[in-house]
Amino acid sequence: MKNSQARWLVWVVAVALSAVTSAASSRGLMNESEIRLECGNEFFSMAAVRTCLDKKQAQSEVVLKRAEAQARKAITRWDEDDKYIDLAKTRLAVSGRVFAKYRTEHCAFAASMGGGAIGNALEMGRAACVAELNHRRAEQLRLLVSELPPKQATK
Amino acid sequence: MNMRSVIFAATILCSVSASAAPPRAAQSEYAIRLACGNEFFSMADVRECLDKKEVESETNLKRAEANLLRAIAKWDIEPPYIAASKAKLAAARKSFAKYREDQCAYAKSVGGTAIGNALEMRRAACVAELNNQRAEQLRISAADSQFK
Repeated sequence: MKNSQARWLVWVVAVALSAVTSAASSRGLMNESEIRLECGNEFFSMAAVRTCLDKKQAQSEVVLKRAEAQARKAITRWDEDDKYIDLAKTRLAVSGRVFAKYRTEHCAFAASMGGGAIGNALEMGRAACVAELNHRRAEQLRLLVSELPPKQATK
Repeated sequence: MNMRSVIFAATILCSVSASAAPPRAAQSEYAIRLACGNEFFSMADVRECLDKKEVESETNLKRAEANLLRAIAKWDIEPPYIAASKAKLAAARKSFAKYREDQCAYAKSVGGTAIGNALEMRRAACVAELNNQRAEQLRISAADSQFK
Protein backbone atom coordinates (compact mmCIF):
# COMPACT_ATOMS: atom_id res chain seq x y z
CA MET A 1 0.00 0.00 0.00
CA LYS A 2 2.73 2.38 1.03
CA ASN A 3 4.65 1.51 -2.06
CA SER A 4 1.77 2.21 -4.37
CA GLN A 5 1.14 5.53 -2.63
CA ALA A 6 4.76 6.47 -3.14
CA ARG A 7 4.57 5.52 -6.79
CA TRP A 8 1.45 7.61 -7.19
CA LEU A 9 3.15 10.60 -5.61
CA VAL A 10 6.16 10.27 -7.86
CA TRP A 11 3.82 10.21 -10.82
CA VAL A 12 2.00 13.36 -9.66
CA VAL A 13 5.30 15.16 -9.16
CA ALA A 14 6.50 14.11 -12.60
CA VAL A 15 3.32 15.42 -14.22
CA ALA A 16 3.51 18.67 -12.25
CA LEU A 17 7.13 19.21 -13.22
CA SER A 18 6.55 18.51 -16.86
CA ALA A 19 3.64 20.98 -16.77
CA VAL A 20 5.96 23.61 -15.30
CA THR A 21 8.66 23.07 -17.90
CA SER A 22 6.27 22.90 -20.83
CA ALA A 23 4.60 26.11 -19.64
CA ALA A 24 7.98 27.80 -19.77
CA SER A 25 8.88 26.42 -23.18
CA SER A 26 5.47 27.20 -24.63
CA ARG A 27 6.32 30.86 -24.13
CA GLY A 28 9.20 30.07 -26.48
CA LEU A 29 11.65 31.54 -24.08
CA MET A 30 14.88 29.83 -24.98
CA ASN A 31 17.72 32.21 -24.48
CA GLU A 32 20.60 32.73 -26.85
CA SER A 33 22.98 30.34 -25.06
CA GLU A 34 20.31 27.62 -24.84
CA ILE A 35 19.68 27.92 -28.56
CA ARG A 36 23.41 27.59 -29.23
CA LEU A 37 23.62 24.64 -26.87
CA GLU A 38 20.75 22.89 -28.58
CA CYS A 39 22.50 23.09 -31.94
CA GLY A 40 25.85 22.22 -30.34
CA ASN A 41 24.44 19.10 -28.69
CA GLU A 42 22.82 17.88 -31.84
CA PHE A 43 25.74 18.36 -34.20
CA PHE A 44 29.43 17.93 -33.90
CA SER A 45 31.08 19.77 -36.79
CA MET A 46 31.29 23.56 -36.76
CA ALA A 47 29.64 23.71 -40.20
CA ALA A 48 26.67 21.62 -39.07
CA VAL A 49 26.22 23.72 -35.92
CA ARG A 50 26.36 26.84 -38.04
CA THR A 51 23.70 25.47 -40.42
CA CYS A 52 21.52 24.52 -37.44
CA LEU A 53 21.75 28.04 -36.00
CA ASP A 54 21.07 29.68 -39.35
CA LYS A 55 17.99 27.49 -39.58
CA LYS A 56 16.87 28.55 -36.11
CA GLN A 57 17.26 32.18 -37.10
CA ALA A 58 15.25 31.67 -40.29
CA GLN A 59 12.52 29.81 -38.37
CA SER A 60 12.33 32.60 -35.79
CA GLU A 61 11.85 35.11 -38.58
CA VAL A 62 8.91 33.11 -39.92
CA VAL A 63 7.42 32.90 -36.42
CA LEU A 64 7.76 36.66 -35.94
CA LYS A 65 6.32 37.51 -39.35
CA ARG A 66 3.35 35.27 -38.65
CA ALA A 67 2.79 36.88 -35.22
CA GLU A 68 2.93 40.33 -36.82
CA ALA A 69 0.45 39.35 -39.51
CA GLN A 70 -1.89 37.87 -36.92
CA ALA A 71 -1.64 41.00 -34.78
CA ARG A 72 -2.54 43.16 -37.79
CA LYS A 73 -5.47 40.89 -38.55
CA ALA A 74 -6.74 40.99 -34.95
CA ILE A 75 -6.48 44.80 -34.92
CA THR A 76 -8.37 45.06 -38.23
CA ARG A 77 -11.18 42.91 -36.82
CA TRP A 78 -11.16 44.71 -33.48
CA ASP A 79 -14.53 46.03 -32.34
CA GLU A 80 -13.29 49.58 -31.90
CA ASP A 81 -13.46 53.00 -33.60
CA ASP A 82 -11.47 53.27 -36.81
CA LYS A 83 -9.19 55.92 -35.42
CA TYR A 84 -8.00 53.57 -32.68
CA ILE A 85 -7.57 50.75 -35.16
CA ASP A 86 -5.46 53.00 -37.38
CA LEU A 87 -3.42 54.24 -34.44
CA ALA A 88 -2.66 50.71 -33.25
CA LYS A 89 -1.68 49.62 -36.77
CA THR A 90 0.65 52.57 -37.21
CA ARG A 91 2.29 51.99 -33.86
CA LEU A 92 2.72 48.31 -34.57
CA ALA A 93 4.52 49.14 -37.81
CA VAL A 94 6.76 51.70 -36.09
CA SER A 95 7.59 49.28 -33.31
CA GLY A 96 8.52 46.63 -35.89
CA ARG A 97 11.00 48.95 -37.58
CA VAL A 98 12.56 50.10 -34.33
CA PHE A 99 12.78 46.50 -33.14
CA ALA A 100 14.86 45.59 -36.20
CA LYS A 101 17.38 48.27 -35.29
CA TYR A 102 17.50 47.21 -31.66
CA ARG A 103 17.95 43.58 -32.67
CA THR A 104 20.85 44.45 -34.98
CA GLU A 105 22.62 46.44 -32.29
CA HIS A 106 21.95 44.12 -29.37
CA CYS A 107 23.07 41.09 -31.38
CA ALA A 108 26.19 42.92 -32.57
CA PHE A 109 26.96 43.33 -28.89
CA ALA A 110 26.14 39.68 -28.17
CA ALA A 111 28.47 38.59 -30.98
CA SER A 112 31.22 40.86 -29.64
CA MET A 113 31.15 38.81 -26.44
CA GLY A 114 32.95 36.17 -28.49
CA GLY A 115 36.00 38.44 -28.39
CA GLY A 116 38.79 37.12 -30.60
CA ALA A 117 36.91 33.95 -31.63
CA ILE A 118 36.93 33.14 -35.32
CA GLY A 119 34.28 34.75 -37.51
CA ASN A 120 32.12 31.64 -37.76
CA ALA A 121 31.73 31.46 -33.98
CA LEU A 122 30.86 35.14 -33.75
CA GLU A 123 28.29 34.74 -36.50
CA MET A 124 26.73 31.81 -34.63
CA GLY A 125 26.40 33.92 -31.50
CA ARG A 126 24.66 36.56 -33.57
CA ALA A 127 22.24 34.08 -35.17
CA ALA A 128 21.25 32.61 -31.78
CA CYS A 129 20.72 36.12 -30.43
CA VAL A 130 18.49 37.10 -33.35
CA ALA A 131 16.45 33.92 -32.89
CA GLU A 132 15.95 34.64 -29.19
CA LEU A 133 14.81 38.23 -29.70
CA ASN A 134 12.48 37.28 -32.57
CA HIS A 135 10.77 34.60 -30.49
CA ARG A 136 10.35 36.92 -27.54
CA ARG A 137 8.81 39.63 -29.65
CA ALA A 138 6.52 37.16 -31.44
CA GLU A 139 5.24 36.00 -28.06
CA GLN A 140 4.66 39.56 -26.87
CA LEU A 141 2.74 40.43 -30.02
CA ARG A 142 0.58 37.34 -29.64
CA LEU A 143 -0.29 38.15 -26.04
CA LEU A 144 -1.05 41.80 -26.71
CA VAL A 145 -3.85 41.08 -29.16
CA SER A 146 -5.17 38.01 -27.34
CA GLU A 147 -7.75 40.08 -25.46
CA LEU A 148 -9.02 42.19 -28.36
CA PRO A 149 -12.77 41.64 -28.85
CA PRO A 150 -13.63 41.11 -32.55
CA LYS A 151 -16.45 42.94 -34.30
CA GLN A 152 -19.77 41.09 -34.29
CA ALA A 153 -20.51 39.28 -37.55
CA THR A 154 -23.77 41.25 -37.97
CA LYS A 155 -21.96 44.57 -38.03
CA MET B 1 12.05 4.75 0.38
CA ASN B 2 9.39 5.86 2.81
CA MET B 3 6.54 8.23 2.25
CA ARG B 4 8.13 11.13 4.11
CA SER B 5 11.27 11.12 2.02
CA VAL B 6 9.20 11.04 -1.16
CA ILE B 7 7.23 14.07 -0.03
CA PHE B 8 10.41 15.80 1.01
CA ALA B 9 12.03 15.17 -2.37
CA ALA B 10 8.89 16.32 -4.14
CA THR B 11 8.79 19.56 -2.14
CA ILE B 12 12.43 20.28 -2.91
CA LEU B 13 11.96 19.56 -6.60
CA CYS B 14 8.90 21.77 -6.82
CA SER B 15 10.50 24.64 -4.95
CA VAL B 16 13.62 24.40 -7.12
CA SER B 17 11.61 24.54 -10.32
CA ALA B 18 9.40 27.32 -8.95
CA SER B 19 12.31 29.45 -7.81
CA ALA B 20 14.16 28.83 -11.07
CA ALA B 21 11.20 29.95 -13.15
CA PRO B 22 10.69 33.66 -12.35
CA PRO B 23 14.13 35.07 -13.18
CA ARG B 24 14.34 33.06 -16.42
CA ALA B 25 10.98 33.87 -17.90
CA ALA B 26 10.45 37.56 -17.22
CA GLN B 27 6.71 38.06 -16.64
CA SER B 28 4.70 39.24 -19.59
CA GLU B 29 2.97 42.60 -19.64
CA TYR B 30 -0.34 40.83 -19.16
CA ALA B 31 0.93 38.72 -16.24
CA ILE B 32 2.30 41.85 -14.55
CA ARG B 33 -1.04 43.62 -14.85
CA LEU B 34 -2.82 40.53 -13.59
CA ALA B 35 -0.51 40.30 -10.57
CA CYS B 36 -1.28 43.89 -9.57
CA GLY B 37 -4.98 43.46 -10.35
CA ASN B 38 -5.25 40.37 -8.18
CA GLU B 39 -3.48 41.99 -5.28
CA PHE B 40 -5.37 45.27 -5.23
CA PHE B 41 -8.95 46.23 -5.76
CA SER B 42 -9.10 49.96 -6.37
CA MET B 43 -7.89 51.39 -9.67
CA ALA B 44 -5.59 53.79 -7.81
CA ASP B 45 -3.90 50.95 -5.94
CA VAL B 46 -3.47 48.86 -9.09
CA ARG B 47 -1.95 51.88 -10.81
CA GLU B 48 0.44 52.44 -7.92
CA CYS B 49 1.41 48.76 -7.95
CA LEU B 50 2.21 48.92 -11.67
CA ASP B 51 4.17 52.15 -11.30
CA LYS B 52 6.19 50.40 -8.62
CA LYS B 53 6.83 47.44 -10.91
CA GLU B 54 8.06 49.82 -13.61
CA VAL B 55 10.46 51.53 -11.19
CA GLU B 56 11.69 48.18 -9.86
CA SER B 57 12.34 46.96 -13.39
CA GLU B 58 14.41 50.07 -14.09
CA THR B 59 16.54 49.41 -11.04
CA ASN B 60 16.85 45.78 -12.08
CA LEU B 61 18.02 46.75 -15.56
CA LYS B 62 20.47 49.40 -14.33
CA ARG B 63 22.01 46.90 -11.93
CA ALA B 64 22.36 44.26 -14.67
CA GLU B 65 24.00 46.83 -16.97
CA ALA B 66 26.43 47.93 -14.28
CA ASN B 67 27.37 44.33 -13.48
CA LEU B 68 27.92 43.52 -17.13
CA LEU B 69 30.08 46.61 -17.64
CA ARG B 70 32.16 45.60 -14.64
CA ALA B 71 32.57 42.08 -16.04
CA ILE B 72 33.61 43.42 -19.45
CA ALA B 73 36.11 45.82 -17.88
CA LYS B 74 37.80 42.90 -16.11
CA TRP B 75 37.75 40.69 -19.21
CA ASP B 76 41.07 38.98 -19.87
CA ILE B 77 41.35 39.96 -23.52
CA GLU B 78 43.07 42.60 -25.66
CA PRO B 79 41.82 46.12 -24.87
CA PRO B 80 40.36 46.79 -28.38
CA TYR B 81 37.86 43.95 -27.86
CA ILE B 82 36.83 45.43 -24.53
CA ALA B 83 36.38 48.86 -26.09
CA ALA B 84 34.39 47.42 -29.00
CA SER B 85 32.06 45.50 -26.70
CA LYS B 86 31.48 48.51 -24.50
CA ALA B 87 30.66 50.70 -27.51
CA LYS B 88 28.25 48.08 -28.85
CA LEU B 89 26.58 47.73 -25.48
CA ALA B 90 26.10 51.50 -25.31
CA ALA B 91 24.58 51.55 -28.81
CA ALA B 92 22.22 48.68 -27.95
CA ARG B 93 21.21 50.44 -24.76
CA LYS B 94 20.14 53.50 -26.73
CA SER B 95 18.21 51.58 -29.35
CA PHE B 96 16.56 49.51 -26.61
CA ALA B 97 15.24 52.69 -24.96
CA LYS B 98 13.74 53.77 -28.28
CA TYR B 99 12.29 50.32 -28.96
CA ARG B 100 10.77 50.17 -25.48
CA GLU B 101 9.13 53.54 -25.99
CA ASP B 102 7.62 52.59 -29.35
CA GLN B 103 6.63 49.05 -28.40
CA CYS B 104 4.93 50.25 -25.21
CA ALA B 105 3.15 53.02 -27.12
CA TYR B 106 1.78 50.21 -29.26
CA ALA B 107 0.84 48.14 -26.17
CA LYS B 108 -1.01 51.19 -24.89
CA SER B 109 -2.81 51.73 -28.17
CA VAL B 110 -4.36 48.25 -28.14
CA GLY B 111 -6.22 49.44 -25.03
CA GLY B 112 -8.36 51.47 -27.46
CA THR B 113 -10.99 53.69 -25.83
CA ALA B 114 -10.19 52.58 -22.28
CA ILE B 115 -9.83 55.49 -19.88
CA GLY B 116 -6.40 57.09 -19.58
CA ASN B 117 -5.48 55.39 -16.32
CA ALA B 118 -5.95 51.93 -17.82
CA LEU B 119 -3.87 52.84 -20.86
CA GLU B 120 -1.11 54.16 -18.66
CA MET B 121 -1.15 50.91 -16.72
CA ARG B 122 -0.66 48.94 -19.91
CA ARG B 123 2.33 51.09 -20.76
CA ALA B 124 3.89 50.66 -17.30
CA ALA B 125 3.45 46.87 -17.41
CA CYS B 126 4.97 46.75 -20.90
CA VAL B 127 8.00 48.78 -19.79
CA ALA B 128 8.47 46.50 -16.79
CA GLU B 129 8.33 43.39 -18.98
CA LEU B 130 10.88 44.67 -21.50
CA ASN B 131 13.24 45.99 -18.81
CA ASN B 132 13.17 42.72 -16.88
CA GLN B 133 13.69 40.71 -20.02
CA ARG B 134 16.70 42.76 -21.07
CA ALA B 135 18.11 42.66 -17.54
CA GLU B 136 17.92 38.88 -17.71
CA GLN B 137 19.72 38.79 -21.05
CA LEU B 138 22.49 41.03 -19.74
CA ARG B 139 22.81 38.94 -16.59
CA ILE B 140 23.32 35.82 -18.70
CA SER B 141 26.02 37.63 -20.71
CA ALA B 142 27.77 38.74 -17.52
CA ALA B 143 27.65 35.21 -16.12
CA ASP B 144 29.54 33.85 -19.13
CA SER B 145 32.41 31.57 -18.19
CA GLN B 146 34.94 33.78 -19.96
CA PHE B 147 34.54 36.38 -17.20
CA LYS B 148 35.28 33.88 -14.44
